[in-house]
Amino acid sequence: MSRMMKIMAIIIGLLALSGPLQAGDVTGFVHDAQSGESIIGVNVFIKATGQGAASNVEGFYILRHGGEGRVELTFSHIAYEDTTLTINLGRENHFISSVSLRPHALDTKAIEVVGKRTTIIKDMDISSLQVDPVILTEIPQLNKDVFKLVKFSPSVTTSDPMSPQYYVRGSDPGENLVQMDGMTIYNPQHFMGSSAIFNPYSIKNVEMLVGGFDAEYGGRNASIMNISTREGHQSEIHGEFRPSISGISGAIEFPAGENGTAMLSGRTYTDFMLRVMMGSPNLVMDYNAAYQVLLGKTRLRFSGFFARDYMDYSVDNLMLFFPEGLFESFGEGFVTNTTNRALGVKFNSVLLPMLTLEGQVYHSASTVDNLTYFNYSITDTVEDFTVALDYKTHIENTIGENTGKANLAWYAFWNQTVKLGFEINDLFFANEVGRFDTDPNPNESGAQFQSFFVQDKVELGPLQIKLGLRNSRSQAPGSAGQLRSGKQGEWHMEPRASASLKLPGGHQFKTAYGKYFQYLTTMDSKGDEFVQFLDYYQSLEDREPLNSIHYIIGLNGPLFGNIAYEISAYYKDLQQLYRATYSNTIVAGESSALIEGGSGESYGFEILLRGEFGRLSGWLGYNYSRGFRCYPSILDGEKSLFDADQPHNLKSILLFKLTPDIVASSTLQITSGFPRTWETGMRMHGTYDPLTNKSGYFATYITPERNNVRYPARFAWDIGWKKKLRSGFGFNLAEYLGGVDAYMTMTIRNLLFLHRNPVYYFYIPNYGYYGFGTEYLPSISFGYSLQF
Amino acid sequence: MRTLNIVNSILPNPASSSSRAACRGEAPREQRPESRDIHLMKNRKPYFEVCPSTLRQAQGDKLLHIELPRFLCLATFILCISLFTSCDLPHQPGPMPTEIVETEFVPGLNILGVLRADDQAGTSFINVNRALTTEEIYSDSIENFPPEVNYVKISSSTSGAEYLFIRGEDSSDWGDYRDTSLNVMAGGAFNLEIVAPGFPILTGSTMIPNKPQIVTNSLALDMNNLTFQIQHHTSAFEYKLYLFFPGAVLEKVVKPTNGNMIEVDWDFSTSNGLPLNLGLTALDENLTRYGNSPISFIPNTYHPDGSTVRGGYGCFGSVAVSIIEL
Repeated sequence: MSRMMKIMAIIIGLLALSGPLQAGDVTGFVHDAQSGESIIGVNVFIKATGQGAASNVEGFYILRHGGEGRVELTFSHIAYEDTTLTINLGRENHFISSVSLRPHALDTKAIEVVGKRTTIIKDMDISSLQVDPVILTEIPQLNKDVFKLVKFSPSVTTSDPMSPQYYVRGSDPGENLVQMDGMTIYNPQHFMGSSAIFNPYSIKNVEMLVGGFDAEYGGRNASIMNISTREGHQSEIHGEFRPSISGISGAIEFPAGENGTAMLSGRTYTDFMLRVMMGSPNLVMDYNAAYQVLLGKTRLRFSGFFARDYMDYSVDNLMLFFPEGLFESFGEGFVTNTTNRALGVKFNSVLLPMLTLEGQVYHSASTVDNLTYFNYSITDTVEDFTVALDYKTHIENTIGENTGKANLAWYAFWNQTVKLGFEINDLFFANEVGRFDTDPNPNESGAQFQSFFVQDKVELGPLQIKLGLRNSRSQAPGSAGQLRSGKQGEWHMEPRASASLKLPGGHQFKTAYGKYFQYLTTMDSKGDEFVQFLDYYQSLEDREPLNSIHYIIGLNGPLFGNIAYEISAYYKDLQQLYRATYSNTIVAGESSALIEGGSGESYGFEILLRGEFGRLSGWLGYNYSRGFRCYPSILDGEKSLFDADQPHNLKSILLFKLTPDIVASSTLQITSGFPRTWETGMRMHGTYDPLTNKSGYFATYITPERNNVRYPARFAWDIGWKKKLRSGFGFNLAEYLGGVDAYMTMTIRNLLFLHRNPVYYFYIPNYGYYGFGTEYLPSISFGYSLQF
Repeated sequence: MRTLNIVNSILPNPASSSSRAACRGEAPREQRPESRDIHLMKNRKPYFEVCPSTLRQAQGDKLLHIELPRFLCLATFILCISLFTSCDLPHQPGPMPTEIVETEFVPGLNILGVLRADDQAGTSFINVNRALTTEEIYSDSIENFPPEVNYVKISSSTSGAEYLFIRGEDSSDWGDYRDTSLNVMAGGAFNLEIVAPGFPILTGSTMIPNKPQIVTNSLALDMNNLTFQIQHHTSAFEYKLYLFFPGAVLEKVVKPTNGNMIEVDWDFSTSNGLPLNLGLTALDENLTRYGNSPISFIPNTYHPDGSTVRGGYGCFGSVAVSIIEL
């Protein structure tokens, strides 16, 4: 550790003793003139010299080497009118606190904004994916779900079409981090419907780093998803609502005091059919609030988030349709109760034109209680045997986090961007597995994760190099049930390096290397719960952290017209992994997850075409990927396929502008099948009742090998339609309610309905195995939304 | 097409007053229809098309009217090709998975055996059958399902005494093997061996838990609540508790915690009256693991077996029973 501190001190000292900063650098913020919202992706350039820059997710830009004297700065964005500022640049660096751009009146946002801005933006970060959230509202078949959108990235595979879990380049779902406004969100999906808990009307930007991410990012090894929410409207009230028969969803932005704006969004849904027909109360809701205020050169933002899922589903009402006395006993249903909350404050401050400070303090927590049961008993009095099934799962999981983090960015000489920062996470875990008819007795533990980083990005003509070092550790709890006592964990160095070289013709070559450490894991309940909707977080306590090494190379550039391409290849050495499954834990009689250590590797390449061609815009991506795991309990430690190994994936999202008011969209996925376990036979599993000293039996599968077959390839093609209403009932209703615009959407799903995508195979006597899918016919759905 | 005709016939000078009127949604003065034509015109779109700023839109609409049918034809053609090339009718089995790892069915005996220490003889039993292929289990008749067995032998680890369990005269598939004279004692250790022709030898072992006991003077009973402490022994991995009422029985499951005492606080409904007896059953490790292992009826998913025997499938475990009069 002391050696590390010395190295960092030397680096900082050299930088501090270096010559004066390059004169003529300009920094500042860009905002929407009407709403006051910061604008992402504004091109800031000087026509005369060709110097240019782009604004980041905070609307902040830095333009290097503007020169001296009178210069004209042009601010350009497809959704806004170009604005030119004339400033006098001297030897001092300039900070322009705010440049306001007036929005265009776009006919449809999808094509213009998406096509021109590019649907997927790949930055110098070799593997980042930035998507304009307008896609969520313009493509109705995505159901406004961020995770459905992410699954169309060529870097993402899945192992269950009904589960929201996703795998990024061969890593496990527990290695993905999701943050909203910088706050880690645990279990960012609703239990039923498996949709994200983020209201699409509140999302301003979605950025996903799928590899090669900077030293300032840590805590997860596979991907970082940053969701930025809207900031509010500075001059008037704006919003959007979408009513439906099961609930309502909407967002509202408004000015809040001097220099302040606020945004409120929420969704509440309940299934009335379940309530009435099945007597099953159910509720799904999420609420989000943000308040932002500008205090001089400091922007302060308060964010709050709350989500709740509740369902008590029982089929008791259906027993009316069965002959009385058929079952000696019968019970089937599930009870799920999940809450998710986050509260934090974040500040961005421009200390000097070339020096910014960002900090955040937040609390985030998730609590899950999932109980599933299915039991029945039938006695054959003739043969004198009892068929009895007693199937149940119960998982209780709580994770809470208090975090403080800060980073300092210095835009230094030689086009350097130097960043320093730290992060401290105080975590709390409470887990219990398999509790039935007993009082709660969760296994509680705590841990503190600490990390700091230094990173330097240098631009040397066509070459950009980024070098970073992150140092992290976990302080495990001490003995005798104490939380966060003084056991010192080892520091782990996480070197990160990436380079990008601009080639003639607008092409760019990129490469990246990184080592990653992660100090928690998740429990796998696939196959025990019908569909795993949630992650169950487990502390690694005294175990070695997960760690992996990533190697990435890539090439991107223009192909023809407005079409661009990107090719990338990766290899991941997953040196330390962990596996915790519900069934292993239960069989072992443990009340908390039984964690098994292992390793793995993954590799693949991706090809992406994106842009626009006439009225058509979107992207088409193909990836080849393989992933393997080694665990002592599986195949005696031999290499086996991991659950989401899908070698071939072809994915596409396309938008076609039929008229100024109508946008048609198409989403297509052609993917290899998932690995699955094929049973070799069946045996009668006994259920013993000590009260009667009798036993019942139920046939259960024999599965000696894991992932020994591959399901057939999957095809999924949906189309959508979004129309701006100009007349009719919907238009008149919007006018009556004071709305500005009204839209109608239509989705036709499962166009390839004649091709079955099996999710399970059941054996049917005298027939053989039959593949059951979830959809056999196309479905059509309609939606209506109004904006004000 | 009507719209198109209007566009083609009326292309005003952008600077003319008529065009400015048109931009307001009105027809140029010279083109405004007489009143008798109003009813024909009222459903037409306003004359936006002649507005200079919307000429591009008009031209775009013209193109759209030509391009849209072509687009629809192309889309329909692609759709039909896609549908028919991927045809997979519901009555067909559907596409089948492909093998990655060769896996074969391993035949073996399947048992559930329980030694019961309850101060009675002949209450212990062992049910013996065999594992089946998927096709067999759904067939009309399963041959040799309770297989022919040479012997089922229990032996005491401490005394070495051996007991042969005999199949009852019941000819059904679900008859148990018993020794009607065997009265196992709590705390004993026993081994199992089953030999059947054509199957691997199945073996197992169990440590019968100590007889469950309540800590002296810990029992407290009132109108709707019973509290007591169980004196826990490490041979017990789970306790099943039964509260006997005149017309009902309540069940509760407790798991050992750290320490050698387990607190039990049991609320019950007054509608059942007052309980008469309290039953405690201690389960050994094998029965606990086997009983808690998730039975999966979800196909195509991997599950650890949960078996506690060697050379076959199933469980050989034991329980110890106590009854306390309240």
